[in-house]
Amino acid sequence: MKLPVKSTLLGALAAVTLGVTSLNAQVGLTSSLATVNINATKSSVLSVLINSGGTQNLASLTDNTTNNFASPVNVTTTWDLNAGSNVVLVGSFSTPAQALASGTNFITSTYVKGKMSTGTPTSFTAFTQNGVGTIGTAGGSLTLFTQSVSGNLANSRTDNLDLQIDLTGHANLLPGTYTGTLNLQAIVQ
Amino acid sequence: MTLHRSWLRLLFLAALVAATEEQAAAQAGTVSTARVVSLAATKTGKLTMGVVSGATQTLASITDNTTNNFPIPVVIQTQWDLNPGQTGSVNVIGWFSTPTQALTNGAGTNIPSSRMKGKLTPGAPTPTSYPATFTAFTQNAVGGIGTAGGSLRLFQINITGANKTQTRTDNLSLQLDLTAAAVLPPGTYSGTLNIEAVTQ
Repeated sequence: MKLPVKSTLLGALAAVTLGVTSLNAQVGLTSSLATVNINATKSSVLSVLINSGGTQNLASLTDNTTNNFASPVNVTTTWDLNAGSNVVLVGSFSTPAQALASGTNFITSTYVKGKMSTGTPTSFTAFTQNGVGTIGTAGGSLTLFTQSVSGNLANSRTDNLDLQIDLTGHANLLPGTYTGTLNLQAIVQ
Repeated sequence: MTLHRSWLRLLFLAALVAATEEQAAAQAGTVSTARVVSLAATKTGKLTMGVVSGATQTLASITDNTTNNFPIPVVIQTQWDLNPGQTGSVNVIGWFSTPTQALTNGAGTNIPSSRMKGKLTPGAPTPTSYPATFTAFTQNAVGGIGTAGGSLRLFQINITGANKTQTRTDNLSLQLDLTAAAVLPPGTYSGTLNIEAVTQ
């Protein structure tokens, strides 16, 4: 009598085991692997923004003396780089011999001066330097600052550029309105 | 003499016919030993997935300290043919092999998988669960698929008789979230997102 009971129990156990195996048969089935290639680029940044003083006016120009513009050009230079030693800000006139013009009468860049107390020309200095790298013009430029970016690859700075027309020793100008454009541009070196 | 031989031949033939009939009668109803032929036919479960489009994701311009969405989704297609009595659910997992270096610029700067987020716009029918909003790839593996802390379950769908055989297409949108992250050095950051399906 005991033997049939044991056989029955073993049979039931086997059935349960088979049932579990069957239930789990498709668990852990995996597909093939698919991949997505991801590329994200962060571009280097070097920008110059004129916050104020983008238009400079001298209401009354006086011969044979210095003529200071009333308010400075406030400029912010921002950089975000992955290499480089210095950021250099340069001011320049495209045609140094005609920095400002009134018809066919000109004021050369020799008579236009800039000063940046927080930069390189801490006293009024003529725009007679050469360009830096690919920016600026020969004889019509002024390096306003050279900022080291070693360990400082992402940053910004704000400076004031004071401008002056120094007519000391200059022949008397013909009356008129003399206009011109000063270019500000930065370069990484 | 000749007559005697003829009679003998007839008798012999008669005896031979009789003996043959008796033998034939004796074999009727005889059966051989039974032999069995075992038949087994297995239909294996099927589970495939592939990227239909968007296998290359490109962000032309990363902006620091904000979210950067990749412009097009990864369109994934998942197919299965399963026994609902043997399968609980189908899961699709996306993961990065090295979560601390999900994307790298090759110059020592890495973007971890915690900055990479995924969001699923599901096809029909709606899965049991999926990341409806951008969710970081910081989950653990599922069913042995994925990496610890570098995975995201893209969907889980329970298998029933109604959906035991199905082909579905889903859109996975990716985002690089640099909110509050340190400023990245400019450069191109590349990585590989793995996607695989597994049953549970």
